[in-house]
Amino acid sequence: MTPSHGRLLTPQALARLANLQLVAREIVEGFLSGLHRSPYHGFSIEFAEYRDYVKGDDLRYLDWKAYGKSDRLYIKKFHSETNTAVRILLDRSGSMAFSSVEGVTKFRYALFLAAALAFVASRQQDAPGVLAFSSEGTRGLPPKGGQGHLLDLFRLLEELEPAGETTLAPTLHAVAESAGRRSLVVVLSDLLDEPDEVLSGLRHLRFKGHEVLLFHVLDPAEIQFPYTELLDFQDLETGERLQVHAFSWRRNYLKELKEFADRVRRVCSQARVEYHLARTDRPFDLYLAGYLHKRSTGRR
Amino acid sequence: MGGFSFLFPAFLAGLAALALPILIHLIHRKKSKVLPFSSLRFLRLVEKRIARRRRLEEYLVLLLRALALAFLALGLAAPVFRNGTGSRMSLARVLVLDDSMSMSLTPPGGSSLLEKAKETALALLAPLTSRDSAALVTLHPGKEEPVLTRNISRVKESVLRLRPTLGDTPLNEAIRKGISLLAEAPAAEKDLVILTDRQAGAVKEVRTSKLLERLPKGTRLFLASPRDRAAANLTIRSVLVRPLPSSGRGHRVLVSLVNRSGLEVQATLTLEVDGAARAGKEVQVPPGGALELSFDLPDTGEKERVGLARLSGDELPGDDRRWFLLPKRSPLPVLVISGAPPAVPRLDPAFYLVRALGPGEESTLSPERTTPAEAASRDFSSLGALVLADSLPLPAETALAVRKYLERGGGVLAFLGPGTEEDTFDRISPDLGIRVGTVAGDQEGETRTFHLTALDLRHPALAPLGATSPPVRLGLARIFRYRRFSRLPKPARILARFSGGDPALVEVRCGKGRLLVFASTANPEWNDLAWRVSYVPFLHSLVHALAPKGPLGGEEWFPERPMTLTWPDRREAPLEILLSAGALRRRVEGRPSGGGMEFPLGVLHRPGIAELELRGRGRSSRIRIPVNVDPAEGDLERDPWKDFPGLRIPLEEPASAAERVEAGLQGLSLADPLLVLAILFLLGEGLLSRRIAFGGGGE
Repeated sequence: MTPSHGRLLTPQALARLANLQLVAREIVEGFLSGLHRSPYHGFSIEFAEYRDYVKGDDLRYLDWKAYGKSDRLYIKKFHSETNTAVRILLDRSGSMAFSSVEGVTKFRYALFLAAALAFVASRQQDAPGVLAFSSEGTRGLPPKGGQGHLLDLFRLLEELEPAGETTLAPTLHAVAESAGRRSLVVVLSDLLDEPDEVLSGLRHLRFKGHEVLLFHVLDPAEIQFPYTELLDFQDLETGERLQVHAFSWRRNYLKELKEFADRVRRVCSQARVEYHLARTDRPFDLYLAGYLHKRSTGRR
Repeated sequence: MGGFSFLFPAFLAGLAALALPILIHLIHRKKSKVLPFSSLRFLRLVEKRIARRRRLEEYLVLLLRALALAFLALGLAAPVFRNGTGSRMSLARVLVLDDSMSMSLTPPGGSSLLEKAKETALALLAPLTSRDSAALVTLHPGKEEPVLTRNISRVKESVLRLRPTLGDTPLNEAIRKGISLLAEAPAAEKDLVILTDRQAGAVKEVRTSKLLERLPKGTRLFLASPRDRAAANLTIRSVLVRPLPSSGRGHRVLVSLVNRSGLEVQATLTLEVDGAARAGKEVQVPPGGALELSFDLPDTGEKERVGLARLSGDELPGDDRRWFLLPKRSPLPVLVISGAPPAVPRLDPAFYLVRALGPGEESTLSPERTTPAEAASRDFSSLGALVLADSLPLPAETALAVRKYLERGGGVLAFLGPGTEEDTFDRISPDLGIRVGTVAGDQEGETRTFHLTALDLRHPALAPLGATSPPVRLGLARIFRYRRFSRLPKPARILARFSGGDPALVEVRCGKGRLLVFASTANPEWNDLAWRVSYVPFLHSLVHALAPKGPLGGEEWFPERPMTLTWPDRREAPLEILLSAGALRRRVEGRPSGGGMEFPLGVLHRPGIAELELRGRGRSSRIRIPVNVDPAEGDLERDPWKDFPGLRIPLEEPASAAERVEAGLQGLSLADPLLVLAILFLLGEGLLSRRIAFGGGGE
């Protein structure tokens, strides 16, 4: 399914909006307004079973129709009680500060995407939580429902700045160990960590029964390497420099990148981790659709 | 004695260029822009894969660049490897040294080109040993003929004795001498070194280069010449003396100046007559420019006078003086033979003729009229020309006198008319082979007009008519009647025709003399030529062309150029000639040459006025001739001599020049292989750089 877009919400245009909540709403509503007869509508409030009323139960869930027919008080139980926790793991390492697209760093793009996912998750009665990580430390909010929580989450996201080295692999292992309930884990990262350890972390999450949705956030310049001159490349995380004849190195760079991406895709496929390459010059809709698809398949 | 030496060591400075590629490399490194990038992870992987090879390639490029530059500098410096034995084979070295006037060019505060050439010559002679031989060939050797000798000291002395001459530049002649000396030399090594200023006009590039092809095989060839430098020089190109039109007694002197140097020249021109200054003018001539100056001298016609045009000094003073003669006015005698004058002057064949030949006091001709009968008693020997006004049949004595006059080299101008008979010229000499035919043109009741066409303006008799400005237009004259020739000798030269095609003016040789026949009348009876403005110049041109030329045909002599006077008829030649020029007195006796006599007068070294006293049997005459520097020597333009096949060395640096000549002796020149290597390295560098630039080296 490819939604048709009522509005063109480019990352560059959204980057000009200061309020993250507004950004998230713009993204999600723009996206949802383009959906027709969405198969995802209403899945979050399905009836599950009845149980006997006990004193103290919330009268809002009393089934009055059943009472009229049987004179017995039943309480309706819904699937909403078992709504999925959506854990958004946001890489805020220094490498995410890279940008070749005007005003949109990889981090900012990931931030918008995280906000939009949290927003849409909240609308679907899921419990979004976020964990931003790097060697500078981790910051986050556990998955929880409610509008207040969502606002807290936006506030947290707005305070984040990219810094330090990536700690993706340990974070994945930590989440796999600490998250009790099975949940949907959304990873937003450029994956610039030790690849074997990252992949081991992803497998760990899957082993623990989590659904994993991986957004590999890359800038178009990282994908195309459009440089032609002699350049001193400086690592945004470590500050290291390397002088490179960009034009002559391009072919080999692209080869290495492709090998890495192929490997990640292969492992993701084996581990049933849904992989998305998120280019920072592309609209978010594609990736929201990916989320909704995963969310729906995860429930069935 | 062994080891390396360099022909052009100055090029070794080019080795400093070795620092260039390294500098470029360093500068290039510094100049690269810093680009913040997400991660060096993949670049590090690429680096691991290709960096070692790439770095090696970059160092290889650097090395190739450095080697190419080094070999280029070394190749241009032309290293020569000489064996270490120190015993080279015998050497014959011939120095052709230009000692012409232009070599005395002296820059302000410096020494002349000749002095530098002498220094270079001495430096080239210095390394020669007793096994070697050398010769000095100058352009103006005088009596001393160049020889190849082992007495190097003698050659050095000859060099030291060299003084600047005012002669011209017969360079090819000197080179030819040098080649013949080398051809006979038994030496194993042979050098020909030409030391010249390459003055344009002296170096006949193509001819000289062809001449050099005759060098004995293996001969090394060198050209030592000065570097190009703008110098200031103004030359007196010519001085022409004409009768002064207004009075006829004085002269008009036309001085032509030319600046064939690279700088503008300001100078003062002074005109002297018999040693006294008579006129002067300040002149300013731009580079390549020319200037004509006119001076009127109204009182100089009474006797022959000596004139001198003098310029104030410049870098080349040799061509700043020019002597000339202001001749005494002495018209050429012309005898006009014609029948008795009729009562009507228009019908007199000689009336117009005599007046046209001597139009006034200024005339260069002095005509006198006589009858055919009286003419036999006249002495023709002093005549400039004889004119037969109507070509009537001449009495036998007169005809004989005319024939003798012709055979001895005299000139006769004949006009045909109604009285001319068919055998008129046969009576003078059957050898002339001219027979006069019928009258052409107007017949009874019919008018026909002809014009003169097909004029041979290259012939001396008509050439002056085409050279005047505006030219004399003979073609405008109308000819009503003329006589046809029924026979003309084969060697006859037709100088003009009538518009009908018949010959109008014919030249026929007779003995040593010449006969010019105009086939119509000299008066207006058959044509209107006598009423035309072209009549006087036409007649004067014909008569002057017929005037006999003595052995002193040249009006000017040049220093250092051998002069020989020749009389074709021994009986008319003097017994001896006394030559005086400045302090020089030289008595020259004639020697038989064919049927005549020749007098080798030798050379004169200084410009001025040469006086010749021609001593004969019982009589003698004096002639004065100006001796001047060839104005072509003042041309400072240098011939590039592009196809010179040898090595060029600078004349200004004697030591360096000698070193370069010596360096090549018995040595192996490494210049060519080094230059080839430099090119190969450059090609390799180019290919490798391209490979690196386009990423080909990364796979």
